Amino acid sequence: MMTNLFSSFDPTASFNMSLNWLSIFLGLFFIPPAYWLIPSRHLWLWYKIIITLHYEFKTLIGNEKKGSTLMMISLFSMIMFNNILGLCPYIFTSTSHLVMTLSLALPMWFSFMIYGWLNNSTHMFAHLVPQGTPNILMPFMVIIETISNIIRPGTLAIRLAANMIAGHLLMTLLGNTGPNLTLIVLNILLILQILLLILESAVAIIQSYVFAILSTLYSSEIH
Amino acid sequence: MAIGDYPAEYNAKVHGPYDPARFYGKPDTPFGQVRLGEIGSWLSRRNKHPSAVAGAISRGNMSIMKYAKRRSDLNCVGDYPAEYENSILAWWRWQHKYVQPKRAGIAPFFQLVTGAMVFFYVINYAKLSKHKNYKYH
Repeated sequence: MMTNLFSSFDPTASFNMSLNWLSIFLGLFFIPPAYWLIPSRHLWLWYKIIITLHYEFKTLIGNEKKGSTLMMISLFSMIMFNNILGLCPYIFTSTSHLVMTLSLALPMWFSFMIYGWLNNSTHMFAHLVPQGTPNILMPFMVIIETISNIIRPGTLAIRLAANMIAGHLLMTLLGNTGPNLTLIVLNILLILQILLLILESAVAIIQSYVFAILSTLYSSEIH
Repeated sequence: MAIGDYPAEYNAKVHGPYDPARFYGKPDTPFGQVRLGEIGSWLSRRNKHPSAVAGAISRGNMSIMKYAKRRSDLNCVGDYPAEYENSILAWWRWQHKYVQPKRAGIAPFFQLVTGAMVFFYVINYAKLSKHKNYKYH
């Protein structure tokens, strides 16, 4: 039981240190290293995922910028490992914190903006009015588009953090009712928790994909 | 010896392609063959350089390497001589047994996850152990 709903998100471990943030790097152990010429099944699966993601992102970025899919694939895998490992008992979910997600989203958005406004100013201005906007709506469209552009890093960060918090909160809350239940209801709770865990595993992958794909889309708008 | 360099004893011409799981230093003397006068030097025989320590941790044990070799459908590069040393954590020993075989299963994933769960349970123990004393929640 907890004193506070959010104590399962507390980064403070023992010794008064925020050692729980170490879980950010856990994913590194799960990336299969290439050792033999013929890949193991893990490595083969990993290659498959990376190649699929590469083709996904490549079509969005366009062919001019070779190698930038690498950044998005790394972003995806980092978030995915953090999300999935965070579902295991006792492992801290760093992506449930805005300090983590915003430090991923904000510098990236800023770099896109700086690059776009410095190099393609006209293009960036043109993006403030979507094609086919009636003349009378144009001033408002500029305001709306500007706002929607400025809140992008925030929405990106909050979407991921809120999804992670919601799932964990639901599971901890349901789990904490366990000791007070009768055997039959407890069994129903167990089945429900397993179903929730499956759903959350899917959410973990989907949200990391969403984060990466939206970052890719934002990057494709600046050139 | 800078970080990332091969060990000083490694010679590509003699040893062939570099294998991080192999110990290239002086072969270890089994304890049964150590003379009384040599016990002091035998006990302090290890290289305490930080990169040598890291190397020892990452290295594996020969018998298990052979096991990994049998399990994988691949022929390993060269034969594994008796120079392999035992080490405590044996990253590569574990890698060759569970991760690197061509038909590796899901076991290493769960081993890592379990290890991570134990680690985070331990570092959060002081906090978690108080949960049972909470009266209101």
